[in-house]
Amino acid sequence: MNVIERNNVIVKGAGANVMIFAHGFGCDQNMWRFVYPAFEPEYKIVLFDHVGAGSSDLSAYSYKKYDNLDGYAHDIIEIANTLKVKDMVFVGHSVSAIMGLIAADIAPELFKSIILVSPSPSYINDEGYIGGFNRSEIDELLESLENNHLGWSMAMAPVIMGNPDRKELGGELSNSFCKTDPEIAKHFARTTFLTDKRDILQQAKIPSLILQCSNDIIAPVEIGHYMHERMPDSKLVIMNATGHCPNLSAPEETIAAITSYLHGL
Amino acid sequence: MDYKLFPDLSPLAKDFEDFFETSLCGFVITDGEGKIVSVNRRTAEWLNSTPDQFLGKRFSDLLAVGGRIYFETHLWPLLRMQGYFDEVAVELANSGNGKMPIYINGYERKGDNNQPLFMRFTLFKASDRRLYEENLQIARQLAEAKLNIEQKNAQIREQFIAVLGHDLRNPLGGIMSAAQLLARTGVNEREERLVNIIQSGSKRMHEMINNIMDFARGRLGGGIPVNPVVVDLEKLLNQISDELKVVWPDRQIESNFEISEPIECDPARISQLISNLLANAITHGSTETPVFFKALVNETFWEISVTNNGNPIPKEAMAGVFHPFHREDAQSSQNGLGLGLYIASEIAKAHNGTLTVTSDDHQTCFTFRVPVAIQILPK
Repeated sequence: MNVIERNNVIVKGAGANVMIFAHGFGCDQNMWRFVYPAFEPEYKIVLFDHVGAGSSDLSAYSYKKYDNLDGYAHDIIEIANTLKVKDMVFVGHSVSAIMGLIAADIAPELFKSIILVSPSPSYINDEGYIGGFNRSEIDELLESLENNHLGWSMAMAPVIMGNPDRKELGGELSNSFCKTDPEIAKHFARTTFLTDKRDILQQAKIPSLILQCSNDIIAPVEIGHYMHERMPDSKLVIMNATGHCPNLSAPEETIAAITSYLHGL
Repeated sequence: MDYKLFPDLSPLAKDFEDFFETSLCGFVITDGEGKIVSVNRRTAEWLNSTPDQFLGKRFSDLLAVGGRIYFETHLWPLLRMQGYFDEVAVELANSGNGKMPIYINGYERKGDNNQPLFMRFTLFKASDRRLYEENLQIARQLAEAKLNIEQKNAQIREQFIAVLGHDLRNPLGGIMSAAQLLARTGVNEREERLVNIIQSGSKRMHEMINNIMDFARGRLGGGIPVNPVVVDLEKLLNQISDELKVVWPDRQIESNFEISEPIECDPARISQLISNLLANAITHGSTETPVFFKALVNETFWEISVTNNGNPIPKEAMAGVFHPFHREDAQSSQNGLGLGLYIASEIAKAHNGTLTVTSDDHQTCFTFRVPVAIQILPK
């Protein structure tokens, strides 16, 4: 199968070095729209949608392969191999940050550095570990999704509407940034929120920047400290930005933090 | 209204304040970063609290844990990317009344520098609507289950037809060979007549069984199988029309072929398709005028059409002409199984082509067209 079409891979810019952006649960590659243009002059930008999200090939979704993050990590490696790129700067948001660490564990030669934006290796509290949620809370989330109690009722069918506020979006579909097949979204939620990849942190060899927001209920600040303490070659920046998506709520601060880290390498 | 509640405000401002606080829906306003700066009393009542308890928190803090996560992963990004979202179902946090289902609309106002100034959320109580949607969902699940069973039944019926067709072939083969042997053994005139009846009857039966088998293949497998080869179309079409002239010696078939080059098709299947169209035109068309048989091959497509004069196909029958078991009620006994045009259209599909029909008081025309650019590959 064609990896480029499967993952809706978009390549922009002509820089010698490659920067690849991976979106997290709930969005697609559009979530990087305020961030990647800042790196276009210096980097070749690679954007993609995880299978099941955005404009990826939904027929390629496998409930077996994507039952754990390794399936997604292999996709990232496949994209890099198909584009014949090495020494990438990998930027991953939330669960995708961990996919990047897994991919770097399997194929370290593909990665130069890893930028982890609001990452979390495990969302569930454990002895000596603050993940942000109790197991019962995650079960409640999965149950709400299962019963279609969240989102657009019945199915997440985007409605065609004008977009007077953001002219650059032109004729794009309303809510299409979150368009996901409801069944796939449920499964991705399960894979995301039940993952525990804390064991991979200590063996992370690639230089990494951890960007953690100040008030993020999905990935609290404690997680940033936890990861930084265990990842040998890591730097931690606690941002002023609040919420779970600094790439959307504070793109300038996000860009500045990434730029300053990359220049210091 | 109770003006004593807002002693310092002008009457208009008081009216607005009252509207904001006691409106039938909830209002929440946050600053550009998402911190709550205002919550109306209605929202606070739903949460068994007072508005000041929520100041400085994030909007997602009002929601039950599922909605809280969903808001941060889906709705907040959407608000930043498209500036608004509409009619999203979530649940308020359980503060003693259970998790109240609500619908929320969100809107982001940006300043001159394109940075968000504030965000507004409207909350609608949706308990009854949730119940209604749950009922709809149950109804849909039941309907899907029923449809599933019906589809399985239909498949069993079609498999039954396929098996029946197949099993009828062998005994019929025996009858046909026996009749042939009998015909060669010097029978008298009366016996010869009887053998002829056996032979023509079993030939018709053989054709019907073949049609049933093609129908079953079309429905159960991946369509009718074709083996395309390079064919001299003119030669093939002349052969077909000659065969039909033998069967109907008193009818005229007027051919007009513009065929410059060979084409790729399955000759046996094309014969089947075309002789079906010609036989239909002869039996249903006017006996006064010939059947017009045209073919055209050019760079972009090839096309074969069969036209007859006479009574049009009734309007109400047009939609079902290519459906299986379609036949004209009045003459059902003459029309066999009503599979001919269905199979013809399946053969057209198998060649990546189309079979279409037009019919008016003047003439009825069936056209089979295949675009040349598309490679025909056996399925």
